[in-house]
Amino acid sequence: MLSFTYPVLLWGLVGLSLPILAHMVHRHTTRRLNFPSLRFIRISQIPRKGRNWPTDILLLLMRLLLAACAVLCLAGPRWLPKEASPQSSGQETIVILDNSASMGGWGIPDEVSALLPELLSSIDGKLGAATFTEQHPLGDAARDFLRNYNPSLANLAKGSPENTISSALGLFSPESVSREVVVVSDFQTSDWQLATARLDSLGVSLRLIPVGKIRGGNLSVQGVRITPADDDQIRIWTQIKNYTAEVRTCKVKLQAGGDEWKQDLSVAPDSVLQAQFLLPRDVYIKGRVSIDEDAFSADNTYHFWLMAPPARKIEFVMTPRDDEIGEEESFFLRTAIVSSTENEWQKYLVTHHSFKDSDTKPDRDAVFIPGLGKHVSSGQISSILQYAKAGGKVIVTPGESPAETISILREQGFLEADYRGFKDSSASGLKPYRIQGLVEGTPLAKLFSGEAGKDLYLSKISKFVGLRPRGDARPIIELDDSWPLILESPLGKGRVFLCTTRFHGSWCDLPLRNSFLPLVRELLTGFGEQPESQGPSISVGETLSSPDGKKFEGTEPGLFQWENELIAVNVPREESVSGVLPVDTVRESLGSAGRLSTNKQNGPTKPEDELGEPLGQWLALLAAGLFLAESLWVRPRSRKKEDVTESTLEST
Amino acid sequence: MADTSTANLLDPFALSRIEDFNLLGRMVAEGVHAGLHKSIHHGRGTEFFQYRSYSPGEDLKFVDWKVFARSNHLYTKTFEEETNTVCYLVIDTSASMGYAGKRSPCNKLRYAVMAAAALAYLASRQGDAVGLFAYGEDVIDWIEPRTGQDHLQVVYQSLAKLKPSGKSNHAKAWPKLLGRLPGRGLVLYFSDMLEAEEELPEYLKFGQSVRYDCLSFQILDPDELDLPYKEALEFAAMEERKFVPTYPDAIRDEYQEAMNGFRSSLHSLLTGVGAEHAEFCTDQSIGNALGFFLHHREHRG
Repeated sequence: MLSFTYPVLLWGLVGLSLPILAHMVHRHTTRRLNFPSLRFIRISQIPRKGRNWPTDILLLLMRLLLAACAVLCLAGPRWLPKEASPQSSGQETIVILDNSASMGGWGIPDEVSALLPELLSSIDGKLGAATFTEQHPLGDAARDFLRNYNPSLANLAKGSPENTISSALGLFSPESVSREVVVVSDFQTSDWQLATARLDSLGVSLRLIPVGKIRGGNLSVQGVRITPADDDQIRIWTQIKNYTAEVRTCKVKLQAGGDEWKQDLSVAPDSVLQAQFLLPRDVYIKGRVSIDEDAFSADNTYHFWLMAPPARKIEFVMTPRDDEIGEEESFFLRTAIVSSTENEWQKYLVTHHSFKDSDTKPDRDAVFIPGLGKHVSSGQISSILQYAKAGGKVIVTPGESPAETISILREQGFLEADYRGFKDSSASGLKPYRIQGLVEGTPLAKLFSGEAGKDLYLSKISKFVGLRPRGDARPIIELDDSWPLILESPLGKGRVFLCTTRFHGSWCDLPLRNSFLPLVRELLTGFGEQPESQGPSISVGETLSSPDGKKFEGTEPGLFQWENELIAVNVPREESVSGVLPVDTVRESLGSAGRLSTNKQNGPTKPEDELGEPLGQWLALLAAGLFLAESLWVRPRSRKKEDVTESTLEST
Repeated sequence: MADTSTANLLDPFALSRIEDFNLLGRMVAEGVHAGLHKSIHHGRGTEFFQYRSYSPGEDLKFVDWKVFARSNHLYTKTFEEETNTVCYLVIDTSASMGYAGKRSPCNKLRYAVMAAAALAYLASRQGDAVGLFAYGEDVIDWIEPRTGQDHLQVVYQSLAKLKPSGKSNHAKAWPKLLGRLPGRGLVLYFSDMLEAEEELPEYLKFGQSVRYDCLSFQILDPDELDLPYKEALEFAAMEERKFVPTYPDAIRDEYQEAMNGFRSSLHSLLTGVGAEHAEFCTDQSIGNALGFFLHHREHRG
């Protein structure tokens, strides 16, 4: 269909009345006749005939067509193909509905139910829809989705606005002229504070519709922690947070195995209080803590396993009998692992393993190779390598012949470092090396802050293998002069942690220090990436991956058994936050100055004047042809040679 | 429209019609009437005119024996009285003569040229000397009267070349002609004579003389008589830069009355000075027009 870049110029078609009027009032006096003598010819009044029709119809039509072509040409005509018709290339709107868990509380469902119909009626053009969990492309299906949307059935996952907005932008058609994103959300701080976009630069206007502005009256069960207690009991710590600005009392209820325990709690404003329950060990399997209903009820319940999670397997490669240092190192590490988790819900099972050639089953949490040397066959190494590539975690300490260790690592292809020799401060009479400051914000830095950090920094490292990392290898802990103490290298789906020193008194005094256990614990957990000690606990919407690549998705709150894991899924507590961002802050974060006019062309939005096939040049050609024809039509007729009567005055 | 070649100037239809009439009605007294369709009249004039070769059968009394004695060749004398008139064809070639209405086979100049050519032929057959004087804004062509077929062809060629142009300047042309007129003669004047009823009688009054005759042929187009146009027009004068927009229906009666008045007045004035005057419309056959005129002359003679 026909479209115009400057439709206002079409008003020029009103001027087509001028040629019509001219032809209506035109006096038929234009023909000139050469006459022998004008002696007896006088001027006379040409009678006005009441014309109902203009004269020279054909000439008039030609002039009208010429004028129309000129006006249409100026208006910038374009022929839009079917797929670029205004139906599809006009206003396109994507409505993003925040369906995070927080949208289920504070009366927001009713508010959203009330505003959606009015919102739908106010949107012209094509409509698409998106939530944090699903998308509906432009069309009637999206409009139906929004029309039938039930806010009460809000997803219980955490919101991911940035990803949702990014995905929603992909719903716009390439031919759209005007794009708008409408966001209906409570703009909760925990969800939106890190959300950014560049909508202005993409030519997308933004409309924000805040809901749930009144956020008072919420208490939340933040989490549950289980620790072994004396006398075959377990202690259940329940954290209750008061998000209000006033003291709130609540009844905390623990349910397990059909039994119920209650406690009254009075929580200060904006603070957390723990409720403690003692239960017999190994009696109950599943537990649930809940509090009274309030403005946001999704966070009033917390599910947890009362069964101890399966012990994690930590396997050690056996050291040669004649390797005393190796034996002692293994002993230290095994003891440290067992000790560090003795009072934890999550236990570790330490075993020795021979790692036969075909043994690649990734059913162990970590593999230790203390004192890597020739005693470890290539087949064993290859097997361990395969375990690592499948998602396992391998921890290696050097043997008494570091060069041998380096050589083995190189041969197997999982050394991404340059060997710079064996460093022995005692032999060279130098001072022992110390651990450098840990990087702020890392799990290690958090673990070794304060006094724990002091102990760690006092450790003396006398011997270590000098390595300079390259490729993807990165140091976890560094010594003086930036020599890595622990080097992490990714290997397939897993990782290799190469310790440049041995956990033995002849190499360093770490095993004697208080910080040794926490350090080993961190080593086992992959330095912060291991699930909590009471077993995996994820939020609704999160995914848990096994070392062999299998995934568990937490779609609803509850307790689940998956693989060898006991998984607790709960509503993300970030959704309990009552703080909301101001609309202007959100708008600024999303790079939007407000509602854009359709003439503002930025980014990939296709300007209207680039749509369709331009017709201006064809109309210009037609107008030129009509002009030529009109000129020829009204040109003065030439004198015929044989007709002296028609002679022009040039002959006189 | 008739071809301008000399051969077509001699319209056989016109010529056949003219041969039935005595062209020179008034010239009977000089013996012209008797010379129609006859060879050159030898008549007993008092003034020797010229020698010509003796033709067997002629009267020997007119043989000049002295010339025979000298040249041993027979010649006869011819005398002035027995001849023919000097016939001057005077043609107005002004621009207005170029008008041709839709009802006319040709423009007025063409019509005049054909009529002049016909009369020139007749005159030449009678032994008349034929001359040509054509003028518009100035003298266009001037051929002294002579006899003979060869000369006649020269006259025909000149007639064929005439084109209408310019404004008719009677005051400039006529004195020149009048100063070169022979002792006696016949002036055949072809013009539309528009707007010249004041001037022309003055120049044509030589017709009152016994030595000269003047026959004025006024050539008009039928459109000039009845102004037949239906739509409003802008009339443009052919001899000057003048334009008059008008609606013919509104002025037709007035125009015709004025035109008739002009024609009547011109006729009276010209005949009053002894110049024969006749009107011819270009939609009339040349033969009919000349025949009508000659018939009129015969009866008057």
